[in-house]
Amino acid sequence: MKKNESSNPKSSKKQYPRVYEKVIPIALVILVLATVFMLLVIAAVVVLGIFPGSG
Amino acid sequence: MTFTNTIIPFISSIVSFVFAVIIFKRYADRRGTHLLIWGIGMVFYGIGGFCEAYFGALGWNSLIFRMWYLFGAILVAAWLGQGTVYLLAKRKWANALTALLILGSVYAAFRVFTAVLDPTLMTSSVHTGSELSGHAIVTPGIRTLTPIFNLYGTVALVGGAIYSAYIFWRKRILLHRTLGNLMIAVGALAPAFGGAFSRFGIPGALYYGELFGAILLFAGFIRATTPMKNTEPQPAPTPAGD
Repeated sequence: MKKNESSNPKSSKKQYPRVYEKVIPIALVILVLATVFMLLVIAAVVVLGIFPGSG
Repeated sequence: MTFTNTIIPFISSIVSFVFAVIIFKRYADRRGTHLLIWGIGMVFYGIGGFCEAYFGALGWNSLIFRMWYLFGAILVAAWLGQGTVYLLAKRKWANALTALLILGSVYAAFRVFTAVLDPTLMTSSVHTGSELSGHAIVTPGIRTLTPIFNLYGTVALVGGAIYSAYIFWRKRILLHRTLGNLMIAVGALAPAFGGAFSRFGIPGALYYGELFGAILLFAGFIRATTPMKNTEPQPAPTPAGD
């Protein structure tokens, strides 16, 4: 039994509680996409003036 | 004067100042340059909110406008982001960037406080409702400073929070810091999205975005600095039969 556990690298891998295991990667992807979108908006500000204070 | 353009930014201001006090207290207890910089950033956030509330309640005032533009529109994101830089970058790089930020901030302050203003031009803004707008600045070259500071601030603050959350998640350690950083990232993006939605015609979106952002930054900081009970990462269950 111990031999099986030590030969299985996944058996010692830590995990968050199940709900966080599902939600966190989704949240990370959404945040990355949102950040890229907002960076594009900010970069376009000089031309379009659509950011608060700069327009 | 409406609830949205006066009370909401005033609440944002209060939340920001309370948050700043908590950060400064933590800095006094534990030190850490990132805490000092974050505290300064939240003071700027609070000043911006207060100026918006003042404008909503009492109308145009050139000093209030200049303070809003300098602290609320130009500096806040960059200073909050600079705090995160101290957590992620080598100390000498963080110090060098801080020196640049201080110089840039002084330059921006000089330009904003010597700018020629014309509040009637704010009516040309596509903002909805009674909002302050950079259109009131007549002197050229000042408004172009804003996206530079905001770009740096967004990359540092949001990017830093996402990167930190990813690292903690990948290692499956310190769940409270993973969640706290996710909240900080959302909170940092909220005012930017609020401003964009406001421009696209959703009344008050900027003010609600700022309030939502202040609350989430606050909550994210508390979450990230408060370990969770009984939710420490557990070894993955061994499949049945192994």
